[in-house]
Amino acid sequence: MDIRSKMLSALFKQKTADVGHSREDFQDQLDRSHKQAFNLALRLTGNHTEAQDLVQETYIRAYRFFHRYDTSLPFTNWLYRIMSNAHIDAVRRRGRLKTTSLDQPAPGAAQIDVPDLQSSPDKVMLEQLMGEHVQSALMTMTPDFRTAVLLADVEGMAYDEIADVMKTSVGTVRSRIHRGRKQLRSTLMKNCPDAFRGYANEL
Amino acid sequence: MSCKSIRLQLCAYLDGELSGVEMIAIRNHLNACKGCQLEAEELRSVKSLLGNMQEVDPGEEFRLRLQRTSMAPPKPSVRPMSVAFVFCTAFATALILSLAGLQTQTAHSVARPFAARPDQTAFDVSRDQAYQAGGDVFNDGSFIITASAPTNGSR
Repeated sequence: MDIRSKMLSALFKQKTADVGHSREDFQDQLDRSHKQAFNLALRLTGNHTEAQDLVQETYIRAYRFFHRYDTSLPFTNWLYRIMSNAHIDAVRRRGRLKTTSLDQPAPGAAQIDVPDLQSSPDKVMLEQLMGEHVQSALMTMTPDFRTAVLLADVEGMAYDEIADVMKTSVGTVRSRIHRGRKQLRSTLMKNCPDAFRGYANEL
Repeated sequence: MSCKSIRLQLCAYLDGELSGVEMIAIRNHLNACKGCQLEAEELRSVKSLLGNMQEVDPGEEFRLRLQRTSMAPPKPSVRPMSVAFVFCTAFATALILSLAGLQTQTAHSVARPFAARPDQTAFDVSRDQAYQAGGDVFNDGSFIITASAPTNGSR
C-alpha cells in the first residue's frame, strides 16, 4: 500500500470515529450539562471555588477522552464517572477527608438560626433553612458515601447506574446509600433536631 | 421478617429498588410497626432534603470559561498519524538528509589535498619530460613529447 492510500485510509478512519465526537458535539454536551454538573460538584465539594475547579477538571478530562464516550449512553452518566474519580483524586491530593464539625464551626462560618417550629413553617422554608445543615452533614461523609447518596437523591439515578458510574457492584451501592443516609440522619438529628423532626412531619 | 432485616432494606424500599414481593412485605410491616415507620419517615426526609436542595446557577461567564479551558488544547487522539505529523516528519527527514549530504561533500573537499598529490607528481613528471624534450614548459603548455631513442653512449 503506497503512502497516499495509507493517508486516505487514516483520514477515512478518523472521519468514521468522529461521528458524534466532534468539537461541536462536545460543546453542545457541555452547554447542556454544565449547570447540572456544577450543582453536583457544589454538593460534593461544599464550596463554590472547589466546585468550579472540579467541574473544570472534569470537562478537561472529558474532552481529552471524548472519543471514548459511548454515544448510546447518557452523557451525564459518563461525565459523572469522570467527576467522581476527579473528586476522589482531589480529596486525596489535598490529603484530607473534609470533616466539618458542626459542634465547633470554623471561624467565620455562617451560623444558621433555626426558627421556632411552633409557628409551623412550611416545607420549602424549612428546606432553605436546612440547606446549610444538610451540606455540612454531607461533608462529614467519605467521598464514596457522599457520591453514592448524591447520585441517588440529587440526580435520581438508579442503583445499577450508580454502580456503573462508581465502577462497583449494586450491592456496594445499596450499602453505601443505606449507611450514608443513616449517617446524615444522625448528624441532622444531632445538630438541628427540631427542624429535622418538623420537616419529617411536613412530609 | 424481623425489624432488623426490614430496616436494612428501608433505603432500597424508598428508592423502589426491591422486587414487588419485597416491597409489599415491607409495606405491610410498616403499617404494623410504629418504630420502623418512624425510621422510614426519617430516612425519607433525608432523601427529600437532598433532592430539594436549592440549585445554583454558575453563570454564563463560567460556561464560557469552561469551554475555553476544556477545549483550548488541540484534541489528542489515538489516531495513527495526523496529516500534519506526516508532513512535518517528511520535512524533517528531508532536512536531515540534505544536511548529511552537505557534510559528505565537505568531507570530500577536505580530502582533496591528499588527492592532489598524484596530480602534482604527474605535473612534475610531464614538466621534466617536456624539459628533456626541449620544450618551454613555462611559456607554452602545448608541446609534443617525443620518444627519444636511447643513445649508444649511455650503454
